[in-house]
Amino acid sequence: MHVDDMEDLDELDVERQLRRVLAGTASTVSGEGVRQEAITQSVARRRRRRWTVRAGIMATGMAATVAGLVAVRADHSPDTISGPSSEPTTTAEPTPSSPTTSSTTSSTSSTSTTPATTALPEFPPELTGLSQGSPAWALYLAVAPQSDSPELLAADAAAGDAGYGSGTGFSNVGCDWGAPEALGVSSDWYSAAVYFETESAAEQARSAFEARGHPPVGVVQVTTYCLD
Amino acid sequence: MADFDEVFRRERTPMVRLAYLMLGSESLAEEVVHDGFVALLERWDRIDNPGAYLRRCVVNGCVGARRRARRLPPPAGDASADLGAAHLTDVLMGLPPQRRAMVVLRYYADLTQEDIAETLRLPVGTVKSGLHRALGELKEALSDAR
Repeated sequence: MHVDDMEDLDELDVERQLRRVLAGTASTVSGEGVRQEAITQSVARRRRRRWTVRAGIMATGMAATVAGLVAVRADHSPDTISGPSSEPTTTAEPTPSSPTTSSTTSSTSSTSTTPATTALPEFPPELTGLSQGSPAWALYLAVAPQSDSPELLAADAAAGDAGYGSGTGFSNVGCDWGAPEALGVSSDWYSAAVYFETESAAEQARSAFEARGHPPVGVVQVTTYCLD
Repeated sequence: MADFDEVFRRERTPMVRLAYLMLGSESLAEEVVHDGFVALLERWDRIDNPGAYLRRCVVNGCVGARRRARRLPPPAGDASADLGAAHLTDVLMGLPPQRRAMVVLRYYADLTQEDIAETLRLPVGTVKSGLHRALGELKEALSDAR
């Protein structure tokens, strides 16, 4: 296409040229650098990391359950108390897109006198379609000076587990105006964050992450930049 | 449903090309697509439409990556690109990430406005107006280049 051809351009001309240029530009890459083995390895690493975190949470939860049973036994006669089921009661983790699946429990509990498992708080929907200069409530899951720090990776995995972000990764804290001051970190630091429309949604998400063993750094009202 | 191997073989190159058009960097595009496939494989049993899920991951990943990298250089373009094509590419890369995503999804991936809205989780009206504005900007920039 020559610039001289652009006289009297109408929308169809632009669309036609656009299709041709995009197809031509795209054809210069093949994507051979994306390897299936590397994807499988990444998934295995993330699963191992999550297993480690969940094992820690389970140990804490079991200790709390034992403490709870001891307390209950102190208040009730022994013949009214059933011990914990041989299989643990599990709580399904809700996702923002499928709230109806939240807080369901398996039917493996033995009797109604077993101490009930508290339902975990649900994850509210995130704010999608961030735009330049727009307000948002940011929930910072982790901040760190290096983009490859373990806390950022763990926070990213937790956000992915919750159904947030679809792998959006990390951004500079400075891209969110108001965040460096509120968090007390340099604007060059990196953050793993999820964005919400309202403060209450951000606080609900904070509670949901806390309940799953991932205490966030904080909630900040920000203006989003670096999107232009 | 197709198995993961089949989806990988079918979608790898188109997704990297889509990401490349949005990011202007082949290595970054491959990184985003890698992350998209990781997310897909992790949730494989819970996903009805792997292709649509992967595309959403890649597009969202590209928007996020643009935030990280702030401004990236435009794609090099094909070897036969002339002045008009190069200028069009420059203008495209100057659009805000979300509007650029709309243009790439519409005119490269051939998605309908409804599918673009679903991918970007935006109202259809926002996609329509975004595409209209983007085309206007591209047309104006190309006319100015004369």
